[in-house]
Amino acid sequence: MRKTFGQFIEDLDHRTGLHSGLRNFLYEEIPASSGWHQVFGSVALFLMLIQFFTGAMLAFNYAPTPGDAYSSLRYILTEVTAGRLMRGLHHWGASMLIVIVVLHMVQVFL
Amino acid sequence: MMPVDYNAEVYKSTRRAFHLAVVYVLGGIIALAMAIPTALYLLVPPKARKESGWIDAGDISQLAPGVPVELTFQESRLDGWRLVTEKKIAWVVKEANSKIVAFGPQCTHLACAYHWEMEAGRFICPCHGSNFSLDGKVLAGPAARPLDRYLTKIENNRLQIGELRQSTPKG
Repeated sequence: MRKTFGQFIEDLDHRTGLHSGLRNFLYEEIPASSGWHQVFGSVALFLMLIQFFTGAMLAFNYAPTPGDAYSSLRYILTEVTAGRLMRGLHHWGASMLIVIVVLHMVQVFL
Repeated sequence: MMPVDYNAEVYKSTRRAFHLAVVYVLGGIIALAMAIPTALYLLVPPKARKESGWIDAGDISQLAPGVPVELTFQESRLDGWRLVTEKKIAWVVKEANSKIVAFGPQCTHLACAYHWEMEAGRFICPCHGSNFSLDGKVLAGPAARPLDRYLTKIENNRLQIGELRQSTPKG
């Protein structure tokens, strides 16, 4: 079974390059002086992905017109299942992204 | 740059393997924490709102017995966040015992709009010639069941109309 799974991963990698791509990412060579202050770039990327994803989800129920924007937002917050959570992730993700990007720029340029 | 040999002994050390496992498990937890709310968000329908269901269709104290009147009324309902208002029609009859009946406005054959023919004393559908009596029974034509009726109640001489109940072929 173990061998079959390994074989599967190998086949998948052979066709997509997914596994070696991921390994390249995880085993990236970084200077010995590096530490936790270098995670900000990855965090910013991660937050960006969260923003794209939750934004796409919210777009299913949001109407970006002057007449409907407020009532559709209220609909998401009060009636849609997990709508409050989805909007909360988008809201806090946006604020966190600003904070992290500033920290990342401080880390890179100073 | 030299290609990195990931099968080298250093990449198989247990500490490295442990950290790799931690990275995968944390990634999996994060993916799951996103996937579950997303599934709920997309698949579980919103809470249903309670609505009273009765619509005021107007004053019926002036209604003459045995003469059907076409009443129009507005039905408002919430579609998502939008308030949708629809015009609806009922044929309202005050029966001899002053009971009020409200018929749905469509012929039970192919849903054409029928009307009351005063001289004939019948509801007549212009599409395929179905005739209905004052109490909604089929008198002639292709219609297979009597006229549909709205649920009704009277409050302070005003007619309250509820949902449209489909009639059965016999009654």
